[in-house]
Amino acid sequence: MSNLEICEVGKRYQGDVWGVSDLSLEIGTGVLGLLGPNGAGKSTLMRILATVTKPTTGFVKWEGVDIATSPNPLRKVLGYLPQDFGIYPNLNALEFLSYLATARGLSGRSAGRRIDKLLELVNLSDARKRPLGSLSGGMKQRVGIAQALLNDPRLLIVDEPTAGLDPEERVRFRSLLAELAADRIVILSSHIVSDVEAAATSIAVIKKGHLRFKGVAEDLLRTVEGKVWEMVIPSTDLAIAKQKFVLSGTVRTSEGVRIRLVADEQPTHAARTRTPTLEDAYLHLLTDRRNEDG
Amino acid sequence: MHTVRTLYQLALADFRERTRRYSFLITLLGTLFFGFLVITGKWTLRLGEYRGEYNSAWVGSLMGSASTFMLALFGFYLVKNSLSRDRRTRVGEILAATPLSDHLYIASKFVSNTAVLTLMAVALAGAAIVMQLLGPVATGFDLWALLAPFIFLCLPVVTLVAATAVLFESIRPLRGSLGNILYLIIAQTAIVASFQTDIPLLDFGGLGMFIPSMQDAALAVYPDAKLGFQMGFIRLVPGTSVETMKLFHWGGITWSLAMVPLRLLWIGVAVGLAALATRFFDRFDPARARHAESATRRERPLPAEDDPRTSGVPSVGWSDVAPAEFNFGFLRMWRAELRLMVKGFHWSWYAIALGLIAAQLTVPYEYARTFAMSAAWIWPLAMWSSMGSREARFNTGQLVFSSAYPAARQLPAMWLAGLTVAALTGGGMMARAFLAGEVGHLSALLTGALFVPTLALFLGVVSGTKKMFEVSYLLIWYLGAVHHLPALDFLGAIDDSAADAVPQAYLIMSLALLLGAFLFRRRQMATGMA
Repeated sequence: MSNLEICEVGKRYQGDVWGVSDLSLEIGTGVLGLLGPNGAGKSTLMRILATVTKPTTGFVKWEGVDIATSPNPLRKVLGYLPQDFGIYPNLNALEFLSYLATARGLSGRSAGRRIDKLLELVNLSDARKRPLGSLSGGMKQRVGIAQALLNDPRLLIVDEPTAGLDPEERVRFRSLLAELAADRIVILSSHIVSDVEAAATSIAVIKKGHLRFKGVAEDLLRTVEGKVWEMVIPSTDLAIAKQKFVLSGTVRTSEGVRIRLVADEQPTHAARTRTPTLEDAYLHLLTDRRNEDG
Repeated sequence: MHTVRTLYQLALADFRERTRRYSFLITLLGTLFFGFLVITGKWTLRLGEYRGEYNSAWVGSLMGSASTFMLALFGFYLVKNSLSRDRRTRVGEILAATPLSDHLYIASKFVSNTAVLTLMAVALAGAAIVMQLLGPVATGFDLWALLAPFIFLCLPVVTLVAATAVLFESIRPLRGSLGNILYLIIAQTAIVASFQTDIPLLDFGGLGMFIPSMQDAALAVYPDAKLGFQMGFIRLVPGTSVETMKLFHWGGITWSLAMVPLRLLWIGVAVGLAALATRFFDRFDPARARHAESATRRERPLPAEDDPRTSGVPSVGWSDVAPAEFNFGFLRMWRAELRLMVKGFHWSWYAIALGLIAAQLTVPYEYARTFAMSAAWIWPLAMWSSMGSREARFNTGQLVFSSAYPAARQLPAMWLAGLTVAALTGGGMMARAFLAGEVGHLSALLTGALFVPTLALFLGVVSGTKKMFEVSYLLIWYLGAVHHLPALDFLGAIDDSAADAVPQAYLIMSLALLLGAFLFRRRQMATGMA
């Protein structure tokens, strides 16, 4: 069984800014959903795991081998979709994927067969001969997904993979991730909680470069059991409510604004408890820690 | 008033963005190094075997004219990146969505370009002052005589170069390497015209304002002197040096207001070129670029996200994808790199390359060796300049470098692809040298074929841009292939260079550059800089 061990990893950038700090995790088969606000350090961690950058402190081991000193054993079985990647505009999808398949060491015949099927899988068969420079953002993202699957990876790292995809494609991609995770490690980084909720078998939350939570969704949900409330307030009180509570939703109604909030105590007598969602739990975790940090 | 403030703010932001880059510091140091070459007499201005005493008038004219022609030749390449940066960073799209007019935007780029080049000229003017104060002979210090040539010669040329850069960046086909080559040809022609013309209107460099006065001063001391006018990296007669040349006193000319209109004319031409740029400026609208493209290429329907052929439920699932089999093939990698290198060029590019190969095979040997070969190895400039920098320019580094052994597999394949382009484009001459038994020439050509792509790879890897190679290679090509400076004759165009073991030097340099590229790429990947 594949195994990825992250031990006390830190990455320092210029100006003594730490992207991630003292982060430890052990990851096995399944989808690990990596959640965190913008600038939390998710992409830094993804780049370290993808061997694109080296950690300043700590180590990452793939099947017992340090990936900083010996990156190639991991690279052979790695599929990586960065958050922000480019394409060669004069090549078409077929040529671009062939190029990357060659760089990844696939045999010519195997590359040809896989590229055909992968292009069908991401619905780009009919656009295979179009220059990549003429494709829409969503289509380029699908080319990115196809390239990440080229070498049948045992570790698949996808950073904000649903950016630019339409709702239908997003749902399909989440299902694909779940299917892939049956016999490999998939790390899905996102700030969209619904993506992680739908696909992840376990969840890690990073904030300011530190790991704040690691466990299954149920564990995270339990942290807000009985703490999610809903009530209707006059729209004029909305600003005050935003300052006072952690709001996870607002809906305008004819009677005022129905707000959904996370609080340890019942905020007013009119407030009613609701079944928590992962979004409630995530927001609670972030704000809880924010208060501690402050 | 509001317009002037907007123009000022836009130009200032652009100027700050450029001057806060590390590369600007390097460029400034390069400029000062050029000043040092002038100070130490490597770059000279002379009238046959005569030169003026190093007084303020002579030093100012020497440094002013040197600065003028260096900025005219290479200043363009320093500033031709302003619109492209806005295009690449997408700041242009944000600006395009504001009420900012095309005229104002282009004007701001013109002003910013002018400011950057003026800063270079100011640095060289500072070098002139240092030269006058610390130089071998310092007969009287006259600040106006030192600086006037910079104002009268350099500033109009700087505005002209700044406007030409904006114009080239606005015209789609001239944005890339073709524009870079074309500019060198235009600048070279204009400089030669400026040197040789007696017509003030054609003298864009303004040399005609003081050369006759210099010649009169020389003739007053040496009535039988054979005077000419030379400027540049001039090889002196063996046994002579700048110090041993015959001296005469030149007190300079009176820089008067009467000279202003003629110089203002060139600033007017610059403003006209900038205005012309507005006509071609596409306001960062990709559709306008595509329209321009479709006029020359076959119309291609633009894809839409809701295109039924690229949406809906796919006909296959993950289980239908065949298992991956691994067997890395270097030949396939080389083919893939070669395809990447040659893709995207218009058919006319290949037609001209074929024409140049045919010329190598058919024109008289000496013409083929010089003219046909120098043209053949400047033509693939855009192909070579993509080497090593492609991953940084297209942001594909994370995809390519997360593959196994990228430095050992992809880099050599890319290098070999560049070598293939050199061998193919210069193949006619190589075959001919082989058949003619010109072993010396053939070995020089083979070394050249090795040197050019290796230099491209090294500079591409180090800088992450095309520009460093394009400017460096254009300089080497201009001095070596066009002007046959023996030390830079990487083409083996003249026999002198073979006798001086120039091909051997280039062979050693190529191997060092190749090793450097490999080590630098490995370091980039190790530190996550790639």
